Amino acid sequence: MRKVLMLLLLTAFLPGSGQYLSNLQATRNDALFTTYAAPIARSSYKLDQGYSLQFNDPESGVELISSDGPNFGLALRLGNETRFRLKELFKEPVITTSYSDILKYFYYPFENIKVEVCFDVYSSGSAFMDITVSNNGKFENQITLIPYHFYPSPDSLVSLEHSNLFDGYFYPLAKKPDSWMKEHQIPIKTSLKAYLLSDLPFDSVVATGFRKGAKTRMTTGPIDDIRRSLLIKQISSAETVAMFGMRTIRLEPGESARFRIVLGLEDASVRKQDAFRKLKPLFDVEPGKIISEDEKIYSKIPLIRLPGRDDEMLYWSCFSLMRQCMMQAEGKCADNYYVFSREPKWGWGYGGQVFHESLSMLAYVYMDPVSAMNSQRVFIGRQQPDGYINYRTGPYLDETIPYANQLTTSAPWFNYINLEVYKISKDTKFLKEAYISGKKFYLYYVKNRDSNRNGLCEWGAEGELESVRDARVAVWDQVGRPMNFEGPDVNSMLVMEARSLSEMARILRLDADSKQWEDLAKQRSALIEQTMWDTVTGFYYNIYKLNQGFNFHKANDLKIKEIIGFLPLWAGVSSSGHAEKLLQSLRDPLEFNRPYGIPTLTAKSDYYNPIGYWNGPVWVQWEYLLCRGLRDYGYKRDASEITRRVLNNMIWHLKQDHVFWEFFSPDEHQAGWNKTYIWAGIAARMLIDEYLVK
Amino acid sequence: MINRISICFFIFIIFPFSTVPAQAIKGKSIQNHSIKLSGKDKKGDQNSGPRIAFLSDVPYGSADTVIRSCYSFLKNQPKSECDFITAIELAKHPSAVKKYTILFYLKNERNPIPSGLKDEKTLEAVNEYLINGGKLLLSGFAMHYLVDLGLETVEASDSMKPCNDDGVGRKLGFHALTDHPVFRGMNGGAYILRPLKDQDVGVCGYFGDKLPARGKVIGVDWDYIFLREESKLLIEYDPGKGKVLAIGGYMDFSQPNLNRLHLEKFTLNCLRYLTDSSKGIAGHYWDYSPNTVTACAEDSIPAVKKLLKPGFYWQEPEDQLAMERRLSSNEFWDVAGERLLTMGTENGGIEEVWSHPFMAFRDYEVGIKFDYRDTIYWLNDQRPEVTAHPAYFCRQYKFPRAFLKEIIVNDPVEPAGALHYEYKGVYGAELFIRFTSNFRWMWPYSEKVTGSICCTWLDDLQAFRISDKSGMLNLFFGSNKPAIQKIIGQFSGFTIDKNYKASGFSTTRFQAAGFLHYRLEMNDELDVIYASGNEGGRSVREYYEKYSAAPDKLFQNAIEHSGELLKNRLMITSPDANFNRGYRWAVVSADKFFVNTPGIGKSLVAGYASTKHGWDGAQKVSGRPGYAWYFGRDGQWSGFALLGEGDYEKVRSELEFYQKYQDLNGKILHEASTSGVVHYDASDATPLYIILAGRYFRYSNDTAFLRLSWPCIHKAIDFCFSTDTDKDHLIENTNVGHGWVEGGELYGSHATLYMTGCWIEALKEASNMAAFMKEQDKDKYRNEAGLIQRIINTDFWNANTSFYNYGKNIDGSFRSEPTVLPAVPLSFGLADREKAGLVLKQLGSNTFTTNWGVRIVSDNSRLFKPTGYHYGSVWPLFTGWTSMAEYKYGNSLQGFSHLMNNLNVYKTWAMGNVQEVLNGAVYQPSGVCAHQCWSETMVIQPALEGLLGLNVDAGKRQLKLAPALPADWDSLEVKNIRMGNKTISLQFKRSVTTLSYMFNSKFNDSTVIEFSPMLPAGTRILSCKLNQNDVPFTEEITPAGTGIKLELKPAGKDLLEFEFRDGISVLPVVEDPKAGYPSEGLRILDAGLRGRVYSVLTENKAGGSGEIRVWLNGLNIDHVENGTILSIGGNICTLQIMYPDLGKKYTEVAVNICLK
Repeated sequence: MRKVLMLLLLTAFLPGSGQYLSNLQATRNDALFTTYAAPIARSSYKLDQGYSLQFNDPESGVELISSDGPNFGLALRLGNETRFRLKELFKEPVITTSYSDILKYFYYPFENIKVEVCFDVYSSGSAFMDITVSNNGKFENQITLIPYHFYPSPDSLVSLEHSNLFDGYFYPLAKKPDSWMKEHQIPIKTSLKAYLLSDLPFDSVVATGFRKGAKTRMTTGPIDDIRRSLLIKQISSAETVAMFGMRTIRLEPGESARFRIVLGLEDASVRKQDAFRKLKPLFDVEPGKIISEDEKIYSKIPLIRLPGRDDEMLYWSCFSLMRQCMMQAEGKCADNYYVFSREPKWGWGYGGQVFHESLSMLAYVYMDPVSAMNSQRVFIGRQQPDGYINYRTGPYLDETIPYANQLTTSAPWFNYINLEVYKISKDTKFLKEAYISGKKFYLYYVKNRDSNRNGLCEWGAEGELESVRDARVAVWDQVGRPMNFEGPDVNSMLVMEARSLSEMARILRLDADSKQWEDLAKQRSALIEQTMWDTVTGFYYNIYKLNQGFNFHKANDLKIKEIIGFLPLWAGVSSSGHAEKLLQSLRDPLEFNRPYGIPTLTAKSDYYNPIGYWNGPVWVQWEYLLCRGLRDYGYKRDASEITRRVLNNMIWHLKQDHVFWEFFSPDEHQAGWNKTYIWAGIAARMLIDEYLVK
Repeated sequence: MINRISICFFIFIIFPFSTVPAQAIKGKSIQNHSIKLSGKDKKGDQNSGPRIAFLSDVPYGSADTVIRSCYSFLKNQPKSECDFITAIELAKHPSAVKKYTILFYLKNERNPIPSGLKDEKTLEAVNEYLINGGKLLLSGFAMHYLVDLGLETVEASDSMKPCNDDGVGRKLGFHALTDHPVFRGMNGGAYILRPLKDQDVGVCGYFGDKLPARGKVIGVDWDYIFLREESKLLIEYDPGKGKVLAIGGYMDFSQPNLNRLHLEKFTLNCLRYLTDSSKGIAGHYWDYSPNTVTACAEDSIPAVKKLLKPGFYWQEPEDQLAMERRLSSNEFWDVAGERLLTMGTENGGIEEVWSHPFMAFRDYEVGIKFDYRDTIYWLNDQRPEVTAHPAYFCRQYKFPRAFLKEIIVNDPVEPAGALHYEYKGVYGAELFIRFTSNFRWMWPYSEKVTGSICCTWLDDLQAFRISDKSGMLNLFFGSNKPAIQKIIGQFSGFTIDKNYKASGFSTTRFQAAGFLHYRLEMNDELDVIYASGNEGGRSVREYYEKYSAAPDKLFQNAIEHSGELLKNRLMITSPDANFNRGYRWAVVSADKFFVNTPGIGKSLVAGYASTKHGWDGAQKVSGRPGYAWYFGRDGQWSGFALLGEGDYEKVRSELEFYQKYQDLNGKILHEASTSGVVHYDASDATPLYIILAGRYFRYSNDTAFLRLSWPCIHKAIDFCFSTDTDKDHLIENTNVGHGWVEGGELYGSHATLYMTGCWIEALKEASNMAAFMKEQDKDKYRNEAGLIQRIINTDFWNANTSFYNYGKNIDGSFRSEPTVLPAVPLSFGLADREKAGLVLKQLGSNTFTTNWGVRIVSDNSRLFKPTGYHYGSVWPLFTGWTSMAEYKYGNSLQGFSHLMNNLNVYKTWAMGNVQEVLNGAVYQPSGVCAHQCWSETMVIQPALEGLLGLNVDAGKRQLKLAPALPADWDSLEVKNIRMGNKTISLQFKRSVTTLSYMFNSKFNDSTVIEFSPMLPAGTRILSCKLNQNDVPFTEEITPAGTGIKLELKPAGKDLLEFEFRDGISVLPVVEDPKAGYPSEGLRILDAGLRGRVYSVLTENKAGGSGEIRVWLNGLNIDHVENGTILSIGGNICTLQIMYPDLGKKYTEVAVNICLK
C-alpha cells in the first residue's frame, strides 16, 4: 500500500512526465522502438495499417515501411546528385519525437539541406507525412524533391489512376490473410484501394512496376536515373510497384519549404470521391495537437531514476509498444482490447487476447489503468455461465479449441492479473467485477482440471496450448502429453489465483471468502511441496497424475528441469529450504544462470535450444514472474542480476532493429520469432520493480 | 623489314658451368678454322672437356656477325673446344661427327636447309650419332632440320616477332612450365634478348594449335609479362641415347643485349643439359593435351573408415576488434592464412579459395531448407548480420524459426580451412552445398596449364577429392557429418527436383562441380572442411584428416595467432579508442599478406581481391586474384613497418625471398607469381631492397644474416650503380624499369626524384652495412649519398614552383609537374628544411590533400583525373609517405591528420581492411584490391616512425624515440618496442604540470635511448628528473613547439619526469569522411606561437566554414582574430572560421589567437 501511494505521489508531483519522448535526440544506435500505429480512438480492426521507420540499413532509403502494406520514402536531388540511401546522407536521422502513433525526425541529405519529417499514423486507414526542407547554407539552392511510395504488387500499377478533381492518385492493392486468419475467419479487408494526395503539386509523376529478375511495364518519364537508382535495389523480395512525384524548388538561404503527403487505405467498394473527401481533412491536422494528446497519455507513466540512456529508451519504448497494441472497442469486444502486434501483422498475433499476453497489463496499467481494466473486462464480458473463459478472445473471435470433451482455456493467470491491475488503478468497481468473474473461473478450472480429484490439477483440453508452452516442450515431446501430469506450473498458478482471490475478497471485505481462498491456496501449496519437490535434485517437476511419482514411461523420466520448476517461488509455495536449493540450479551457469537470463530449460539438457521456443529461450514475462518470486523471497540481488541480463539483450536488439521480440536467447544476441510482441513491454515493470524509489 | 633470325648452333660442354665468367676469357683468341675431317684429332684426345662442332651453312669468312659472334662465344669457353664446320664439309665427311660431343647448328637465315645436310649419308650419320648418345642443338631456323632427320613429322613454322619498346622495355625469351634445367639459376624462364633498338625478330617454332608430334615442349615464348603459351619455341627430343634441343630464336650474341648475361647463362645451361641432363632440377614440359575432367582412379592411399566426430558449438571469444554490419552489404572480406586465401562478399558464400599457386575452389554457395517449408533458401540471396574478426569472418542468417551461423576460418599456417555452421531452429533442416573448381593456376599461366583434373568421393573421409594430372595439386573437401547426397563431375550447375534429389548439368567448360546435402537437427552443428595444396595427395590428405577430426582446432589456431600478434607486436594504446582499434586492425590485417608457397618461398604478397576484379591478364579465364602474389616494392615498403612493429622474422624471410630470386645482374624482382614466374620490371625494388636489408640489420643486429646476404646486397648495389649510364650520379629508369609511376602521363622520366631519394637512402644503409663488413666501399657509398643529396636540393629544386621536380629527362632537362613523390625523399629526411616546408605546405593543402588522403597530383594539375591510377587517385601509400615526411620535418599536426586518413579507411568498406586506391574526388575505392598490404602498413609505419619517432640501431645499442603526440593526448602506452632481441615499453602520463614517462626494460647493456619529445608551443620546462635525480637536457624552442632532447640508459624501470607550465596547440584535423562524399575540408597548413599570438594558418573551400579545436594549458585567450570562439570546455577551445569566396577554389585564413 505504501509502495502504491508513493508511486502515485511521484506521478502527481513530477511535471512533464511523458515529455521524454518529445525531447529525444535518438539516432539509429539508440534503443528506441520505432514502429507506429493508429491511436486507440482511431483504430479499426478490419483495416489497420502500421509502419516502421527503417533507418538502420545503409543500403536502403530512410523509409516508413510495412511488412505487407505501402511504404514511404523521400529522395532529394541537389545538382547532379540524388541521395536517399542511409549511407549517402550527410547526417543520419535524429529522432526528436516518438510516440506509439507519431514520429518526428530530421536529417541532412546534403551539408546545408535539412529535412524534417513528421509522420503520423492518424487512423488505421490513413497516415500523413509532413516534410520540411530547409536551406541552412549561405547560397540559394535548387532542390528536387522526390517523394516515393512503393507497395509489393505488380497488378496495382496498371490501374494507377489520377483524379483530376482531387489531384490525387489511387490504385488497388490486395492483402492476403495468412492461413491462420483464414482458418479462423478473421474478417480483415483484403481488397483495398490506396489513395495518395499531396499539397505539393508535382512537376511530374512516374509510376512503375517490377517483378523480381525482370522489369515490367516500365513507364518512361523524366527521371529515369532516379528510378534506376531508387528502385532496382528495392526489389528485395518479390514484386513491387512504385510511384514517384517530382518537384523542383528553389530555396534562398534560411528558407524552408513544407509539404504534406496523405495516404489513405479504403475498402475497394468505397467510392473514390468519398475516399478522397475523407482524406482531405488530414491536411488540416496539427501534429502538435496529436503530440500533446500523447504527452497527456504518457504523463501517467512513473518517472523513475534509471541508470542510463539505454534503460531510459527501453523503458519508454515498452510503453509505446503496449499502447500501440491496444485498439478501441469493436465487434464482440465492448471494451478496448489488445492484439499481440499491429505491425507486422500475422494471424496468431492478430486474433485476440490471451491471459498469457495479458501479463503485460502489469506494466501497461501504470500508463492507462482504465484501458488495462477494460482489456480485462473483455475476458469478463465473454465468460460463459459455467465460468469458462476462452483460450483466445478477440473482437471477432471466440477460440475455445474443444478437445476430449473439454474446452481449452487459458493458463490461469486471470485473478492474478486482475489483482495487480487493481493495485494500480484502485478501482473497486473493477475489483468487484473481477472478483465475481474470477471466482467463477477458478471454480470452473479446478472442477474440470482435477480429473482424479486429488487436489492437484493437470492441463486439460488441448493441454499444450492451455499450458502456454505450446511448441516443442521437452517434457511433452520426450515423455508424454500434458493431461497426464500434475505440474508445478498449473498448480502454482492456481495457488496464486486463490491467493489473489483471497486478497480481492479481503479488500472487498468478504473476510470469510478471503480465508477460504487462503486455505485453498495453502492446501494446494502443501500438496505441491509434498509431491512435486524432488529432494535428490532439489527441483520441482511434473508428476504422473496416477501415482504422483516422477516416472511415466521409465524411472525419473519426468525429472526434466524446466522453468516451470521455479514457479512455486513466484507463487510463494516453496519453503525457505526448498527455495535455497532451487537457487543452486538457478545460479549454476551450466544450467539456468545464462548470460542473458534464465532459460526455459536447463542448458544441460540435450533438448536445450536457446532459440527453440520453450526449450531454452528467455521469455521476458516469465523472467518477470521469476524475479517477482526472488524478490518476495529476499533474493533481491539475484533478481537484479537476472533483470539486468534480460534487459541488456532487449536493449541490444532494440538498438539493432528497433523492435521488441517474442523471446530472446539466453546465450547470445539473438531473438525470435515474432516482432513487436506486446508482452515484451513487461520489461518496463521490471525496471519499475528495480529502480522505482520506494 | 628485317628478315633475319637470331640463330646459334653450337655444340659444347662447359665444366663446371657455375663458375663460368660472364664475359669471354681474356687472352684466348677467337679464330676461325676448318677442322681436320679425317685422321686422328690429337687435340680432341687430349682435352678432357667437350668438343663442339659448330655447324654453319656458310664458311666462316662468309658468315655474318650472328654466326661469328656465337661461334666466338663458344670458342672462348674454358675447358672446351669448338670447331667451325660447314654443311658442305659435314656432307663430305659425315662420320666425323662422331668425334664431337655436341653438334651445334645455328641457322639465322630463313632459307632451306643445305642439301648437304639432307644428303642421305649425312642424315644417316647424324641419326646414328644421336642414337649412340650424340647431342644436337638446333638454333633458330635450324629447327626445320628436325623433319629432315626424321625426329619430327610436323614441320615447324617461321614467324616474325615484333620487339618494340612501348614503355615497358624489349624483353624476349622463353619460359618453362614451372622449371627446366635449361633455366637453371633463372627461375624457370629467361629473357635472353633485350636489344637496345626496336626490331622484328624471326622465330621458328610451333604456333597456335600446331604442336610438334614427337618433341616435348620445354619453353614457350615469353615477352614482358606475357607467357605466349601458343608459341612453342623450345623443344626437346630424345632419340636413342642422344638428346636434341631445338631453340627457335633469340640466341643472338651479335647485337648489344641488356640481358647478355642471361643469354650466356641460358646457352651454357643448354649445353650442360645436353651432356649431363641427369643432374639437377627436374624438367617439366608444357602439356597441350585437352583439359578434361574425369573420375579419379582408385586412391592409392589405403582407405581407413574413420568415425566422423560430430561438430559442436564454437565459443567465440569476446573480441574488442570485432566489426559488425547488421545487414550485410556487397563489400569484400577475406580470411587469409599463410597457405590459404578465402575471399567473398558479405552477403553469402565464398567467391574463391586460393591455395597458392592455384585456386582450390570457387563459387561456394549454401542453401537451406526447413522441414516446415518446401523452399530452399540460398544464402547468397539473404542479407545476414556479418562480423569481421581479426581471425575469422562470421555471418548470422535469421530465418523464421531458425538461425544459422556461419564461421569461416583458415589455419594461420597450414593449408586447411573450415566453414562452421551452427543451426538453431524449432524444426530440423537440410543444408545444400555447391561449389566449382578448375584448379586455375595463378597468372601469368593461362587456364589451359592446369591440364586435366579428376574428382571422386572418398567414402572413408566423407569428402570429395579433386586432383590434377600430376597428382601434386589436391583439394579435399568434405564434412564431419555423413552426406545424404554427394555428386561431383564436369557440371555447370545442379538442378534439384521436388524430392530434393540433385543432378548435375553437363558442361564442356573445364571445371568440376560438387554438390553435397546434409541433414541438420533442430540444434545442430556441421563443419565443412577443406584442405588444399601442391605437395601431393598424401600430404594434403593428412591435413584434411587432421582438421576434419578437429575442425575447431582451426578456429583456435586462428584466434591464438591473432591474439599472439596483438600481444607481441609493438602496441600503442592512446586515449583515442578509434586510433587504438584501427592500429590493431592494421597490424592483424597486414600480417595476412605473409604467404608461404611450397617450392617458392615465404614473403609478403601485395593485395587481395578475387579474379573478377581488375585486369584479367589478357586471359580468357582470369588467374589474377587481385595482387595476391609477391612484389618487390610492395613487400619492401611494407617490410619497413613490420620491422618497426618487431616482426623481424617475416622481414628476414622476405629478404631471403628477394635474394633467392635476385636476377643474374643483381636486380631485385618486381613481382613473382605464386606460380613461380618472376618479373624484373621495376627499378625501385633494388634500392628498396638495400634499404630493407640495411634497416633489418640495424633493427635486429642479425650479423650472421648480413654476412650471408652481403654478396646479394653488394650485387644489388653494383646493379644500381650500373644503371647510371650517363654518370650524373642518378640511377636511371631508362632501360631499367618503372620507378613508382608505371604508366600514364607522368610515366617516362630518365631519372626520377623518387628513385634518387630511394637510392640515397639505400647508399646510407649500404655504407652502414659495408662498415660492419669492413668493406672499403663504405666511404664511397656515404660520399655518393651526400653528393646526390646535394643534387636533389639543387638540380631537382624548382624555384618557380617552390617544389621539387618530378624527374630528369634524358637530355638533362627536368619535368616539373608537382607530385606527391617528393614525400619519399622527405620521409628519409633528405630535403633542405626550408624547401621541405614549402613542399609540405602544398601537400597539406586541399589541392593535394582530400578528406581521406593525398593525391599523386594536385587537383589543379592538367593531368588530374580522380580515377587515374597514377594521375589523380589517392593511395594510402602516398598518404603514408606524406605523413612520415611531415613528421620528419616537424609538421606533426598534418602528419597525424594524414595518418588518421589511412587508419580510418578500415571502417568504411571491407571491414578491418584498408583499400589499395581511393578516388581523388569522392570517397570511394578506385583500385583493384579492397585489402592492400602497404595500405595497412602505411597506418603502422607513420605511427611508429612519425608519431613515436622510432628509430633503432641494435648493433650500436641506440634507440631513438621522438614522440610528437596530439596535444590532447594526456596518456600513452607503447608496449614491445623491439631492439634486437630485447624489448622496452613506455608509459606516458600528463597531469596539469607534470609529464611522466616510465620506461620499462630488461636491458643490461649500455643501450642508450635518445629521447626527444615534441611538446606544444609555449611549453616551459621547469625541471627534468630521472628516477628523481636531475638530468641534463636540451631544449629547442620554435614557434611550432618545444623540443626536448636527452639521453638515458635504461636499467629496468626508469621514471623520467618533467615539470612544465603553459602550452598551446591546435589539434590535428581528423576527418571521418562518408563514402561517396567530396574531398574538400578544413586543412591546417601551419601553426605557431610568436610572442603572445598563436597563429593557425588554415584553408578550406571558398565560401565554407569550419571549426578547429585548440588545446591550451595555463594560458588564457584575450581575443581571437579571424575566428569566433564557439565553446571552451576544459582546456579545449573550439573556434569557428569563415572562408570568404575570393574567387579561388580554396581560401586561406590565418586565425590569430591572442593570449593574455
